[in-house]
Amino acid sequence: MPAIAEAGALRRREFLRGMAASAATAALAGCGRSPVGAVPYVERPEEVVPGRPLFYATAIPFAGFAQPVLAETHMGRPTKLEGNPDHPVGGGATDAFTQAAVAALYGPERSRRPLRGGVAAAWADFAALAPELAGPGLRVLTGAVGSPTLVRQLTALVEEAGARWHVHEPGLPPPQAGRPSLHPRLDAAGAVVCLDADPLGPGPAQVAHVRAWSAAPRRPLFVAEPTLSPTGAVARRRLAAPAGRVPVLARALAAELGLGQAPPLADDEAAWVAEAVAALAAQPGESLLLAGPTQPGAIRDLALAVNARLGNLGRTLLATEPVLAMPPGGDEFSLAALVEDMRGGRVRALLVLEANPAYTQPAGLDFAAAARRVPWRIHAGLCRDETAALCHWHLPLHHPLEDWSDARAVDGTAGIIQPVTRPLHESVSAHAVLAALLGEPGADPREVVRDTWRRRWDEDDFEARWRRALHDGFVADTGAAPLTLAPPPLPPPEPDEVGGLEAVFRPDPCVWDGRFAAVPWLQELPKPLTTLTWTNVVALGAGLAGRLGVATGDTVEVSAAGAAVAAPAWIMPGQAEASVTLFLGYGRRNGAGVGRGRGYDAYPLRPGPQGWRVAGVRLRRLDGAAAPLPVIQPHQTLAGLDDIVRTVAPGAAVPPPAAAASLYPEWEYPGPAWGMVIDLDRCTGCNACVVACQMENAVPTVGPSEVAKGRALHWLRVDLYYQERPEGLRTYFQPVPCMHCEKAPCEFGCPVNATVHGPEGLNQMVYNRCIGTRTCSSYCPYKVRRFNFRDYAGAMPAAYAPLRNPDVTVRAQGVMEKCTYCTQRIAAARIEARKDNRPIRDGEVRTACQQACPARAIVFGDLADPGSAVARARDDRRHYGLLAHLGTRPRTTYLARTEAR
Amino acid sequence: MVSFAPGRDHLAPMRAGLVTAAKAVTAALAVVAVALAAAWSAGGIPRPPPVQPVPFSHAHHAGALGLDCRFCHSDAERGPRAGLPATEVCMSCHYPVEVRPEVPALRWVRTARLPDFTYFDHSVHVAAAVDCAACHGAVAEMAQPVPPRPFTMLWCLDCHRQRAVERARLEHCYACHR
Repeated sequence: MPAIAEAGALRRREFLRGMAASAATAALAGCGRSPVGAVPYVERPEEVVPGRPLFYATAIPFAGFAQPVLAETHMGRPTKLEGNPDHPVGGGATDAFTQAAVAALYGPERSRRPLRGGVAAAWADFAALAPELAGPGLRVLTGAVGSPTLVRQLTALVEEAGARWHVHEPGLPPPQAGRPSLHPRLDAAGAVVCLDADPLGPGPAQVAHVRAWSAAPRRPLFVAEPTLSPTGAVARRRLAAPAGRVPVLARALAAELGLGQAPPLADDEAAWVAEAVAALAAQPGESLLLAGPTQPGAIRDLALAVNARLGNLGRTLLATEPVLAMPPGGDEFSLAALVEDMRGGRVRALLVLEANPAYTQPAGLDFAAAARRVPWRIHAGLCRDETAALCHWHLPLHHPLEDWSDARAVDGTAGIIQPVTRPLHESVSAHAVLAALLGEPGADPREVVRDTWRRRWDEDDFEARWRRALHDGFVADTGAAPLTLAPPPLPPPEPDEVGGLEAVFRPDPCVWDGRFAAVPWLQELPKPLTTLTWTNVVALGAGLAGRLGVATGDTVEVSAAGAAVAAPAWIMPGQAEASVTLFLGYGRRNGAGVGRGRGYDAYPLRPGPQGWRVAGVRLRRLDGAAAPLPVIQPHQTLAGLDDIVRTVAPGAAVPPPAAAASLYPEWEYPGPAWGMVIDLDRCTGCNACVVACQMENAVPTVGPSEVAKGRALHWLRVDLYYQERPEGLRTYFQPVPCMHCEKAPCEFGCPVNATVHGPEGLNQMVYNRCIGTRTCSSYCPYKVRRFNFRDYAGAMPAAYAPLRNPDVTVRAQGVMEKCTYCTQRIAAARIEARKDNRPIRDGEVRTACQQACPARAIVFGDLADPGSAVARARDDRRHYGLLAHLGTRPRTTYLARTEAR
Repeated sequence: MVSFAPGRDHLAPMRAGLVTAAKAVTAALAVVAVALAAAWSAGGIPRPPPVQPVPFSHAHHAGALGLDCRFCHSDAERGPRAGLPATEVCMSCHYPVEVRPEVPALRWVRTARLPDFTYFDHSVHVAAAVDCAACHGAVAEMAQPVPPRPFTMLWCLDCHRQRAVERARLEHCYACHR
């Protein structure tokens, strides 16, 4: 190129000549690609095969409980979590939160380095300061703690340094110190009655409960609850009862079984109680009555007494020593007691360890004002959240995938948490923070954890046992020790609640108490019972809404005891008319990444740290236009769509569809022909499959405005339908991945042959051919195709790039994408089988959704093999194809929901 | 102030400029087309081998010494990538007994490359008895090997189509793409 800098003297003709020459040179140089480096190891780790995933057994703690996982890593980079199939809990399944935990590892909201007064500081400076802080004036506030090492360190801090330990877990009731843990055995119970209890709903025990329930999902299940829950959604008989009315139902139920006096009931209540009692009494010793943790302790005691009367204790309801540790002393160690002490100037130093009281505090506590009276405030957590903003020091903690620790699963089985990647940021282990306070500033967290176990195991075989525990992901035979429960004395009847409107509080099913607000995949996860994303609402019944003239989306003001919040309303099927439901976890102000400022904060109305209900609520409609809500599926009634979700009476068969003729030739399959069967009896709508699919297939999120336009990218969606029946509300979940039709309309519709029928029956996208006409999507009767209207993958924060599965192509803007039956997993199995010269074994290919499903609702395999699990499932009498009359001959098919009418 | 004299073409200079520009662009496009055609027919623009961090000779190691390819590229049978040897593999011959020097990680320049949307697995090709030279050429005769041909889709298909038994699967898009 001539010196264009002297362009002042340059004439146009010379300029053009120069440009032409430059363009030609550039074009020549552009042939061939720029060189790419390859950097081999200097010393190669023995087990690493580049391009092959490596799995490590570890655990993700959630609300104090371990969720056992196998972490898939590619060259030291975690990309996916699977359940640990050998673990006594979960059998290899996971929940949605655990699936998304690997995304939280890479989250751009995580703190990068320690901060002192908001300015970058060094960990060594804190470690030097720490011994000064330890002493009687030190308070440590944690969430629920089950980790044996953390308990050992906290106990040492209390006993040796005179510190005090407080626990605040906003989403779950605290275990009561000294009281046993109760473990419902849903697999052993022939009939279950839930009083405002939601064992199948989100929470640390969801996987265990759903798995146990799925052993025989057609058992009688009776639920009375103020707001629809996943358990209520699969119940045989559900009663919408305000939370304040549930104690009355409990007493009526107990009275029918000969315990106490019967209170007066309304007709529908009496009918429900009669049926529930009949089911319980029909199977003494094999039934189960559960009172929810959101109910008063007296009602939980009453339920225990009923179970004792029925002979269920020790059979369907087990008691063990407490799995979570609590500081001794009960209320003295609550958040309220801490705030009281802070206000009184009795706290010299406060360490907040993985808790966020400044956001999750209940009404009237004013943690922030009290905290300002504490001379030393230290926050240790993953993000600089609302509490960190109040503290002098902020210490970023390792993500569990970067850290050494240990934890106990819901059954008490202990497991070692081992790092599967190097820390991404300048973070520290929680064990190192506590060790520094205990006067061991340089402690290696691995040694701290090993110390705990060294005290439990003989020195002789310590190393062998340690290696075994790391390999297996759990320590065998460490389940909580069983206890024999004495039936509690019958609690005295409490006065009935006065009528009026009540508000009940629930952790959000997707962001929980707010801790997952920064994970875009959880924000965009449709809430199971509304399909709402990215925000929270106030749920109210249709009758109440009608009286107030409120429609879904209208802003309403909920006020109680002097506090008020404004929020969009949602007319919720199955809602008790005297109840409104507020969902916690939104309205985050700090350190919540994409969750910041979304939705409304319900905590200011909450009556106490564990308050689940507030009475005397006033609700009024605020003026203004209805806000558009980012809903995945706006239409949720099944009326007139009976052939979508089929139901059958127990033992009945779905009538086979008329054979649909086709003008097109049959396909031939010399090898396997893949297919999937989804059992609607088992699905509880937990959404684990949806997140598992996104993590496996690198499906990006699109954001609330795109969701509102119907552009969400989920390859697998769980359709939600409601139907009012004479016997009550029915709720149906139907997971819908690509049907991989035998006669696929999309294949005939694509003008550029970008979607083709594969040799193993899969309907396959060829991204490079796709020109984005979206014809396939308009031809698809199931609407499972997803279009990249924008560069969604490129618009994700760059921090998430390492999360992408390297075995999956990243889709560009303007390209159609959809479920591939996890074709990369099929390819891996095919390669292994080909190398061994054998056919692919049944069960060797497991799709991501199938692997995550706690209910075992999804079966995948080779339809050409008559002995395969999927072929056998197709022979079930309940088997049917979605919209089979269209003649598409879907490969993904369903087993109809059984309903006792 | 511009004055318009009758009979004079005020736009003539601009028109001439446009013609020149058009000619220049046409010429540039012609050059590009010729270059592309040449690249196409020759199966890649012959380029000198890149400068590598170590003057390593494949002709010496694989040819003269007769080392098996898998001695260094040991993942070829185990996984999707053949892999480059860890530096300690080099050192096991070059410094068999002495105290080994501290070596930094080597940054090689790749010569055999596939597009990112292609999922090639070495191990299954080795298991199917595809010779390394079928793709990588006579490496044992070249000091610094360059692939004999660029790895184009048609070239992969040429081979896949000869596998009569698995042909339906091997010539389908999803044999290599996902």
